[in-house]
Amino acid sequence: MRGAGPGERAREAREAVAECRAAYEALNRFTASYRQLVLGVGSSADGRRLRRALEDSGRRGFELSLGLRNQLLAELTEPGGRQEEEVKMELERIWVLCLSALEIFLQDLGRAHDLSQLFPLPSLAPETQLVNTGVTSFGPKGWSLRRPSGKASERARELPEELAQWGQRLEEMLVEMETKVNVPVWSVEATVDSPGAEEPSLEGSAGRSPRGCCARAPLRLQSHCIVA
Amino acid sequence: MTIKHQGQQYRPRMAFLRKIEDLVKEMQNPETGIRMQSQRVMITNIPHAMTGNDILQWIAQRLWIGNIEAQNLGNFIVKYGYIYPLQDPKNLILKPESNSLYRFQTPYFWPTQQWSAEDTDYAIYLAKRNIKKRGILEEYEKENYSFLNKKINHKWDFVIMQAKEQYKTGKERKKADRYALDCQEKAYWLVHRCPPGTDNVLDYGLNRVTNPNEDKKITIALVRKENMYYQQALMRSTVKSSVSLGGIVKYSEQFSSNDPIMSGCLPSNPWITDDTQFWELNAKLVEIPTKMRVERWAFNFSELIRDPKGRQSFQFFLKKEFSGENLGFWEACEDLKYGDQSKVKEKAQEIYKLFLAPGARRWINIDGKTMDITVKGLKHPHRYVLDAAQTHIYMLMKKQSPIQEASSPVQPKPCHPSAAGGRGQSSRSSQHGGHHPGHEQTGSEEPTQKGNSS
Repeated sequence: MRGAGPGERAREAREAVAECRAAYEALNRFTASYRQLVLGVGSSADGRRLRRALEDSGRRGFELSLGLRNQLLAELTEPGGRQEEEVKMELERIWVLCLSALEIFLQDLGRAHDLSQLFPLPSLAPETQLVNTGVTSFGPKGWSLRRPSGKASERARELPEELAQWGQRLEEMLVEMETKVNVPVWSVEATVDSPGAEEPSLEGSAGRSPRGCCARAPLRLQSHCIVA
Repeated sequence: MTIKHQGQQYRPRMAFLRKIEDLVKEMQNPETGIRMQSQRVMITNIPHAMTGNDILQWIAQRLWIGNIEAQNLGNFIVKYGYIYPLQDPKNLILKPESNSLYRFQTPYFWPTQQWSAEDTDYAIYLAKRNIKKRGILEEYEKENYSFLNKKINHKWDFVIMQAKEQYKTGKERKKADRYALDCQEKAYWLVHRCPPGTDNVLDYGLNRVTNPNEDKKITIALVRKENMYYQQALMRSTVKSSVSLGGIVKYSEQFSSNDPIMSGCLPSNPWITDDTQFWELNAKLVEIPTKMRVERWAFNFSELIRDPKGRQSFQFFLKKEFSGENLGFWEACEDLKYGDQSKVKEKAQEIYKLFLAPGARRWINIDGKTMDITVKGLKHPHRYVLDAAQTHIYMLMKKQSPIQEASSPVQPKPCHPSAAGGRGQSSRSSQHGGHHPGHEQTGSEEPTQKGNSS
């Protein structure tokens, strides 16, 4: 719904950005908790409950990521570049954050999948035991399933059932995100203070090069930008 | 990470990891595995600790090997991070005492072929520790941290946010678990980002181009490709091993007196005596080359040409006897091949104007066929476009040089008196520099006639 004047539009844009940011923070929190779960696979904390929790949260993570991506896409690909510079920059920053979080989530998903196969639980052969690591419980105390916020979950599409399939779809999605959207990943500057670094400015790089330029850059440079 | 580029991106097979994993899994058996104890940390008891001695004995008994071998194997298991020490985390060996404690690493932190330890994760880990207690990072970790800050600066917001989240989620766990988890993570990073001075045990060199885990389906295209590959392999020119070994022996004999490691060096070896005179005397364009160096030029033409001082002397000599355009052309070709490729077109054009064009100022004399090929190639210049001409000129120079140089008075006044040394005296007269074995020709090798055979 487009408001009447530019002020209205600006407010809507800022609201949208705030929503994206909230959705991203949910994804961030989720990634950290998911990692805690995967840490337990194969260890003495493993069990049917852990595996079920893994599946459930995997599904939820997928929902979250899809939702966030769709939302960001919708905002970023708005026709005509009607957004202000600041809003656009903020969205790009969230885009990069989202990409990074998804990478981690994808990695953890893959690891969970591999480890679950290494220690197949329901049919644990008599020879395979779980590794005695000293950790006896999985997940944080009061492991709560935080529901994703409003719009993000609405925009989630249908989910495939299997863990492995999620991994694949997520990977495809990630590749799509990295290649098809015109957001130069490396132009985002850190806004957080780190030890030894001086206070960085809030704006991103002044001259953003279009994606075409990046594609023509030597492969080595590209990998440096995108790869962790 | 997700975008796969062309080129080397696959980790090689690490079969040894699977073997260790099987062994570690067996260690878990409550009846036949290793005896577990509890570790007391302040007021909490953390289960599943083992003594080094128990581990050693178990390995020796299970595999029917002696204590020394079991110790070696145990060291491997600890080094690769499947078991970590509790008391001295940085020292990754298996101490076979009964008061040194160890614990198993959780499978998430096991080294695998598929998952490498990523920089982003490392940055998050360091950030987490920094959040927990500022300034707790060690020197090398601080360096790594600021290096990563620059390298993945665009992800830094994410790194800090994720570190905070992970720290928060970590705090929500039971105290004993949290302690164990912290130890695990620390052990993981001690293996995968080892402190300076320790061996990086997981170093496997470069990534591979092909996926070693890939299941290649036998299709016609694949078989055709393999066919082509093998045919090309067959077509490669080969040398009998006896011939190439003979070449190596001759080369070693010839150069042995010149080798500073094999025959010592005068005035002294700088690495041992900290006296850099040897390097100063043998600098690239020193005024008076040492006698050993000049003798080396007599071995064969490529030695002369490769040494910058030799080239300089040769150029001087050529300028006296002939014009030096051959060498100039050769040097220009080298620059084209190895220099800045963005200027290839301009360089090639200049070379053409200076050396190749009819009536050029420093026209080189190459045969018509080579000239034709070169001029044609110059329409689409690339770094090897002058290769044919360069080879021709190289041969020309080679044929000219030794014979002429012997009779010319241009030999440099050799050396610094201290470098004269008592090594083989080369006779300047017979200057027929032998063929460098295997250099230009493959297959049969001409008998080497050297002035100084040791």
